[in-house]
Amino acid sequence: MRRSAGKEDAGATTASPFALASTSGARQNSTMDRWELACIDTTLQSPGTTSIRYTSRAQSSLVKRRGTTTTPRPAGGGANVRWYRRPGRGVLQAPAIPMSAAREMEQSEHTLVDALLAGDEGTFEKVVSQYQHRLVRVARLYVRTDAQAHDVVQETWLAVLRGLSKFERRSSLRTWLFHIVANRARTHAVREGRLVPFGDGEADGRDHSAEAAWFDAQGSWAQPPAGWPSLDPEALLLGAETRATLLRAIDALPDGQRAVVVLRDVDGLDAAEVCNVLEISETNQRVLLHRGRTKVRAALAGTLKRPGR
Amino acid sequence: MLSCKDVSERCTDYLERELTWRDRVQYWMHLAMCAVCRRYVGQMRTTAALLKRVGDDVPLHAPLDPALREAFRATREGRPPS
Repeated sequence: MRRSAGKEDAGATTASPFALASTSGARQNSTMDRWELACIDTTLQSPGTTSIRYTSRAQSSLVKRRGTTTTPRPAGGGANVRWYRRPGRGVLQAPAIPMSAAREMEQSEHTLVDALLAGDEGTFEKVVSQYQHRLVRVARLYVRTDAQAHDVVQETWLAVLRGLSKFERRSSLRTWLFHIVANRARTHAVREGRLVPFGDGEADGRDHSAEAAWFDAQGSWAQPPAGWPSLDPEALLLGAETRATLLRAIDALPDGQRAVVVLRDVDGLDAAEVCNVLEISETNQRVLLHRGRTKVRAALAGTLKRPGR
Repeated sequence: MLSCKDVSERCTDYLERELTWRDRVQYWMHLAMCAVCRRYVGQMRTTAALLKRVGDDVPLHAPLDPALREAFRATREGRPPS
């Protein structure tokens, strides 16, 4: 069984170290599962969208060659590197990014922090432009207006400059930045008297009514979901409505669900980072993510309904 | 035996690999038999993938805010912003 790596792979490998840092963990999870599901039901995958990568264990059984004629990978992701499977070894498995890329990323963050500490203005400029909109997005989870969010982020950068020399690198730069901005935004929200603890009421059973109606008393589908024209995210994003629907659906989520969905999925933090930044429990985090994604899926289903299915 | 409702409720745990090995096998067994749940889980997976792409469009490089530039230079010269 041989599969070519998909677009997602190409995207991940061509992205800047920063983008890589933000998304690798989450992508790894989703691709590994995609593979597992594909083993059971290949019909879920449209050809050419399957993303298969290799675990470090399986990787040792793979031979990398250049310029020969099997399994071309899409352009952009190391275009003329081809993967072979050495016969007689275990099943193919698939983590997101080859080890070297992850190490490179770590490396680049080290040099980045070093350059910041050394007072390199270009690096600071790069970090600010990379993170500005993401920090605004996090601040916006707590404060009411974009203007306030920008104020919070401005304060955050000043706090970062003050604290940089004491940054111990126990967490990643990203987690550190997110933590500071969330704390500042929380302080603002408290001052305005509108700090709503995330998770209350959203994570317990009360927020469950829509799904309950899908199933009968035995827990089987009473209202089975309609099929979508495609399950390939890239293909779906070509439709003009998809993106707008996604953004609307995220905006419409209750605060806690939106916070977790934005940090986990949109920003690509891992579960522990999200708990740390939002100061919520692991259980709450899981439930909020599930509820949030379920609502977004339902919104997408409304747009993607295909006539006749 | 998992019901379809169980499968939908544990879908995110499954996709995020938070199920135990035993639960995972049960989950697979259900998916192997149930086309509707396969469709549903596939859609949830796609939803997560779409959400991950919403954040991908990094805005064009914006010039550094002058106040921040000033603060950075001050920090470099040992006068951190108050």
